[in-house]
Amino acid sequence: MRALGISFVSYMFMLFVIIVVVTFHARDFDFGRAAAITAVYMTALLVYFAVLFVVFKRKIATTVHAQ
Amino acid sequence: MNILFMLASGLGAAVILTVIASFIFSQQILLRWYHAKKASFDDPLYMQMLKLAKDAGMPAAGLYFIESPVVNSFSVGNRKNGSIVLTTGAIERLSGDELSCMMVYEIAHLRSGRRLREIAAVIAGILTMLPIAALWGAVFTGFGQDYEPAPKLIKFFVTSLFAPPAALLVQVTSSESVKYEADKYAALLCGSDAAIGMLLKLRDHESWDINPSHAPLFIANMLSDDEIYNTLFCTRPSVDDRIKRLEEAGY
Repeated sequence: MRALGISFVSYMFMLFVIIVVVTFHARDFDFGRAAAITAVYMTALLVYFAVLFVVFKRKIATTVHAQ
Repeated sequence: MNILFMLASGLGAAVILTVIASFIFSQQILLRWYHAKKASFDDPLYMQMLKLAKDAGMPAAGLYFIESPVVNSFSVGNRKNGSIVLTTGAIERLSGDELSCMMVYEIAHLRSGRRLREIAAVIAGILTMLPIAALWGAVFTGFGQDYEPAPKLIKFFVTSLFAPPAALLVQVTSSESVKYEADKYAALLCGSDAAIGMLLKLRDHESWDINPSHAPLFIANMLSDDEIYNTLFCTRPSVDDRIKRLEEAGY
């Protein structure tokens, strides 16, 4: 689950990149727009990670024997 | 906005083409990916495989070899057009009965006719290749050599983005029951001692640096747990569980 934690941080970084790109494109920082992007993105991300968590918890083999 | 639209369209078209190509050419892609060489028709192993396929009521499948010291195998295709791939390590290290058992296991997989896992493996394999592309992209755009921290960090970042969806695809399409059934079939045809002996040799072997998305295709998982994202690709059942189940059933 450590891998999923790192991935979550990476996806959060992508949110920052999206807001920077949108702000540069509009040449203005609009708090409402940034908040809307964040709300939509975070909702999708939480649903996505909930699915990942459930699937991996059910299906990942706990023992790895390769040395 | 036009540039963004063009980028999104290009990306969408690339994804659709990849999915279509994976559906049509998954077998050929995987055989080429591992540089599999086709066995000649007079090869004793091919003859043995034909006999085993006949016993299982299956049409002849193609037999391929890949150069690797590890003991492993996989199969691609379906009942009518299937291919069984053995590593040279398996041929050298397994006894005759254990090798037959390995081939029966793969024949049982072809019998089940589930091509979805290999299609998923190809698509997920492409996703897990993207970090390597990112690493070389970073090297060629002046971030340093491939062993330096900056390109490695970029590779790790891209891995952290693409490994979870690739692993999700692989985990959703892999079936625990099909593996148990294939084990059972191998034990019934070759004896449970041979099946357990083969699994023990698979369990105690060294790791193999393959594309993690392809790991569930192989008879046993050979990924090392050094890489943090490899754990996401470890599908059930583990070799221990399979041995335990065979011992309990006593075929």
